[in-house]
Amino acid sequence: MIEVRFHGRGGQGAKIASRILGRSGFLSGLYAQDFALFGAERRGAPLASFTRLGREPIDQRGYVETPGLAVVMDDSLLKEAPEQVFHGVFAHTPLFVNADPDQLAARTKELPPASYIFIDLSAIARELIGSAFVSAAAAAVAARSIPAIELQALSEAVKIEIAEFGLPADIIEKNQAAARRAYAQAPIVPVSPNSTAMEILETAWQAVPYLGSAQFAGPTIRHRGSAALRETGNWRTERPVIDLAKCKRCFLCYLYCPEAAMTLDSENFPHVDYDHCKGCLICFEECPTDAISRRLEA
Amino acid sequence: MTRTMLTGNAAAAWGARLAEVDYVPAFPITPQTEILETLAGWSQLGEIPARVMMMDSEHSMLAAAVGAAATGVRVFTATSSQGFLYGFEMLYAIAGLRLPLVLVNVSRALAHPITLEPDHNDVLSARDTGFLQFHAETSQEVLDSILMAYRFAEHEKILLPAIVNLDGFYLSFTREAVEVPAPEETRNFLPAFRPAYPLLSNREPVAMGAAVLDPSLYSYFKHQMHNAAENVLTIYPKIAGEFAETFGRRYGIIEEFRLDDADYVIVMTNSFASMGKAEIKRLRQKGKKIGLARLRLIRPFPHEELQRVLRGRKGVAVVDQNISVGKGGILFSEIASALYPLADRPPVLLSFIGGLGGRRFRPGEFDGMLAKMENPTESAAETVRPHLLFTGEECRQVGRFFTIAREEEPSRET
Repeated sequence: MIEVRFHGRGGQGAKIASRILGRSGFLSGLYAQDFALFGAERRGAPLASFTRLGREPIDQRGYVETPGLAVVMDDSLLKEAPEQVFHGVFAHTPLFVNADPDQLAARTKELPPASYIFIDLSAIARELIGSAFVSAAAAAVAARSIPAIELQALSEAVKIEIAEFGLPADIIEKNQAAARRAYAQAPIVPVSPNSTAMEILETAWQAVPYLGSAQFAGPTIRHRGSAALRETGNWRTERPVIDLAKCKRCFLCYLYCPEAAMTLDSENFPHVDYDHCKGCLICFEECPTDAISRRLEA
Repeated sequence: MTRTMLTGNAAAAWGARLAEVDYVPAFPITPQTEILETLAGWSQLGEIPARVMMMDSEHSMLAAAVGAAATGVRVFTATSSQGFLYGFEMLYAIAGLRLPLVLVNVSRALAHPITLEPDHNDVLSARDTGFLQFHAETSQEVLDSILMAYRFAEHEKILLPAIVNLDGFYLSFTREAVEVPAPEETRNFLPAFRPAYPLLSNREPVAMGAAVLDPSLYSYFKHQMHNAAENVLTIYPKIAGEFAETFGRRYGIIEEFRLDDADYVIVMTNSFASMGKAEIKRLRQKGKKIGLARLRLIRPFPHEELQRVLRGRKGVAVVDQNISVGKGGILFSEIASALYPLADRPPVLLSFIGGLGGRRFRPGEFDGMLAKMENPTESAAETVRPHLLFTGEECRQVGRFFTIAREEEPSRET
């Protein structure tokens, strides 16, 4: 069995990538399973999705703990969600990163060990699809290293999955082209099967002792203001930008902001806390003087 | 202390009054309404300081209970049957937040078919929620159980909400003599609530009910709840002992009626156990060595007490006033699991479903249960299935109802 893990942000298509790869295996006569893991996340939040392929019925479910191959569809996750990206990744684990190959040496110097392959999936998507939608390309680089998957099956899988997503025929064809390009560009890497064979540990059952303290009885957080420690600014796909020259200081943006990410200065002008603004753009919608504009994140 | 005539519902109201509860979110439902009416009346007259708040549903009522209990005040509420189920989601919230309030459930069978009379499918549906469960037979026991329930619920090694259950009609509307303790006397046993948990307050904000998306952390909190519930069993003798010293009434986890030399035991709960005891007395007069065990504490489940009471008997019959459709009696299954590890477990363990929708026992049914214990003739496959108590006369009566309900019959309206 081969286990593949995709890392992306909500809205980037990690789930579709895992489905394209799963469908590719299915169409190639393999046993296949795909699964996306997200709960309370929204667009922009880090998430992971998984594909399992094998010649025998698949007897695993849930999170892929030690992937045979992983694809990081958003390179900012290397720094921002390392506990997810590098979970169960070893020096020999192929880790495809959607980034400029020229930056490989400079950017991996201080990262945990992995067998890094930088490949600019976004450039492929921009050129062939005209958007940053990298699902097809991400699935293709993984498929390239799985001999049982034929290019034809991959292409058909892209068609089915993108169609299921409700996109029109021309977009489907563009995604197929992106998949073929990524398939052609990707190197073939050794994918270790059975990499999930979990380390056999001696079962260490431990009864949870009764702590006896009322302080820890329920899920109560006493540390005040701890939400500020969690930076959610990287969830944004777009950011609000305030033109203070047009601002009438009506406070509506300040009042409507659901994340308390709008602050007022000593003269009552609003400022965005970009470390925590999630980019919902309610302020943009509410501003009566159009002093707030929206700008795509780089 | 005064001695007077009280219904089960009035006894419940007195329990809340003597517990000097601060907040009572309320919603009416038969056969419970009298409890909240009584408390609302006292509140209006200024006889009790409690704030009684009529809500728009049982779900809101229990949500308000969560908020109030989170601020550290003593909360009491009551409901029944459909209302209990309507607020059901909040039961897990209250227990999971470890808020020690007391809820009285007045048992009433669940629709459909709709009825008003009691059985225990309503209260036993909450057996997995984390609420402690005390089931009462008499009006006195209702009052006393509420006072004891607060002691257990608020104990810092427990911190779980508690249900006190009483049967609709057979107890809720039935008056009998009750000793009502004096407030000073009650305060000796149940002092004012001083919560040890972090409170919801403006001055010291806390985030309660934080999301736990980590499976281990979720398991941890559930294990803590389970351990906390089991602490009731070790703390029980102390609190029951203090209760007996203060009020002169001693309650066991299980009431043991004529069990000393009994070879055969009937297990029952709640107010129908009174009728069971009458049958035991009658059978004793015929020389039968039979007794009755009445489960008072159902959560936590008293495995060891049951083992002590039932081990070495020749036969045990569990009378469930509930039905898990497609399985049988709920308490039968739980009791079987408690007895299984015993080398000297009773060789005969039978399940009877009786009292559904308030159905009373018919003459001879207890003789029949005893006869089946004395001469077990059924196969293993038959023995694990419940015996559904019903009689030929009832069959004929149901037949008459169907005759009336059939559409081809001419209308009886004129």
